[in-house]
Amino acid sequence: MESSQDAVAGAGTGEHAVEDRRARLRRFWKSDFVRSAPYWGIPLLLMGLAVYGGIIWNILISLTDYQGFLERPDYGNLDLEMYRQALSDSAVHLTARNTFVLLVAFTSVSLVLGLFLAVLLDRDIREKSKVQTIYLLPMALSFVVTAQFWLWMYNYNDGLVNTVIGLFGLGPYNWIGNPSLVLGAVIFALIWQFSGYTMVVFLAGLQSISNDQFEAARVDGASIFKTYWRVIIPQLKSSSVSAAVVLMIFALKIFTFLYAMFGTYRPPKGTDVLATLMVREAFQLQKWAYSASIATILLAMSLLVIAPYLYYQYREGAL
Amino acid sequence: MATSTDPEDRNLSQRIDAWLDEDMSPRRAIGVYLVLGLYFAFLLLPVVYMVLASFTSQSFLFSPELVPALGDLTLANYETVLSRGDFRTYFYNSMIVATSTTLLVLTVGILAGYSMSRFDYPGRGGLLYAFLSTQMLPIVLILIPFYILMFSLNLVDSLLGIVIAHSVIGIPLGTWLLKGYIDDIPESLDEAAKMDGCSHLSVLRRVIVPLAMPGIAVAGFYTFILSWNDYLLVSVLSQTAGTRTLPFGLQLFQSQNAVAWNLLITAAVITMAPVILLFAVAQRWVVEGLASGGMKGN
Repeated sequence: MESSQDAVAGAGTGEHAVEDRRARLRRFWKSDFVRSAPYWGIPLLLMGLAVYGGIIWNILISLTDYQGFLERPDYGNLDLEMYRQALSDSAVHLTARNTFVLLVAFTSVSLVLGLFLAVLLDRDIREKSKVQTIYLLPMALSFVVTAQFWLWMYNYNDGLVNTVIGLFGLGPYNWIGNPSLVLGAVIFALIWQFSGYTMVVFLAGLQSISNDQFEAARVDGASIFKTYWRVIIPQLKSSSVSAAVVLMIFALKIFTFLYAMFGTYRPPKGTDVLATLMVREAFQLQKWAYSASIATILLAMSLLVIAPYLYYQYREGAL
Repeated sequence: MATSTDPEDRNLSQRIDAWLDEDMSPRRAIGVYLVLGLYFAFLLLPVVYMVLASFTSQSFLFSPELVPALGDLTLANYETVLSRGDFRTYFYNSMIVATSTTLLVLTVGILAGYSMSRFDYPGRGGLLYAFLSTQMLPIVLILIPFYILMFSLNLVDSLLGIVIAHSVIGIPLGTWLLKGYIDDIPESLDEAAKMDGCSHLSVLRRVIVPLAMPGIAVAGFYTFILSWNDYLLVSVLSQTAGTRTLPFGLQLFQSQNAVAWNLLITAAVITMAPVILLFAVAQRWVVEGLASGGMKGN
């Protein structure tokens, strides 16, 4: 307010105007924006350049026909040729389908299992914090390690999985070698790694629900199952959304697991996903532009997951 | 969470326990424990079995027995694995990379988290969104541009390049977590310190950092694990044995036609040991952070 009055008053003489500009500049220099800039400037620059710049650059590369080694992409001649190729490539269809199956099956099974266990655990068991911690352990383990030992567990002759199901008179199955079983085997291993996390998120959600609601349902004569099904679980919407998103994000990052499990950029057909196809096209065949276009397709899939979530968080005012 | 001081107000599980007492038949209780116990076994057995197998000879792995005899336990696998010079190099590389990445991310993250928590500037909300969304994107998306960038900076095949790559991935999450913890520190404390003539930096050093220690531990834990476990970025950025990290150590014991399973599993146990140790140290705060709503927003 004061500054605008100053400006009006000082409009007559040039000297005043200069002084006013100086004052405004001084205020600008003292504002939070400038004073805090050194603190957030570095991460913003790093992240902006590397991540967002990288994504844009990636899209740009996908519009060229850059391939081979050690020459610069030709940005003068941009077209959608690579996307036309990608969309009619049967390998892209197959890997997109696998990515989708993996995303949906892994996420939904982990959610249902996690919810079920959280409800059981919420109802009893002492020393809850210790239990929670151990359930989180598999998630902290490297994909490289878990991939190796699942490979070993799935071993046809002596693996633990075939030994255990052998006790029930089943199998043995060739989990890794059979193209129709391998995707399921990979999904199972991932569920092993992440269902504990889902459970802990749901458990946290359950614990924040007031006791009165259990009391009220009990007074109304509802059974335990009905109480959870009708009253409690519907309130876990935000836990479910954040758990589902985290799981889907992990599913989209599956590359490391597959790469570690099969030791090559080419996993068996049954479990080839967009990310492995993309890395293979880029770093084995040097088809940079083509693989950049596959990366863009993957980006679109990721955005389908992320954008609604961020919008939801924004609408709920959670950020 | 209920906040009343009513003595009746015990925590939810106790309440439900009390409520269930009357209609919880022993049979149902056994059912519940059985399911949880099975899940527990499902989660832990593979890990326990792997650790056990690392102390036994190759023949145990391929025998039908599920538990090794006490006399069969041996440290021979560890001796063989650790005596390989290249495996040790990978281990040191992993240590150097993960430690430097953690220090770098914490330094930058504390500064950025502090600015987001204490300053009010236009675009702050957008910045938070931008940070959070990077966390959700698969890293392969930026692999090609990143590789070209590192190539032109001559950082391919150097530990520095790997540290930078890991930091770029780690900074957003680190900042996000630290901002949440710094938000929990009452601003009146920094006001008081400023009254006493502290600058922003000394407020940070004397007030914020000591009080945000649990948050720093959690952010450090996540960053260290991220860097320690990374395979993708290292596989692209490292091209000779001198810059490989531990995840590649496992490959040393695999070849096209023969896998030394006992050595491979021992290497895997060595690879996950620091993670489990760190987990044991940081778990209290990690669970606390998760329980208070996953990532702490406001």
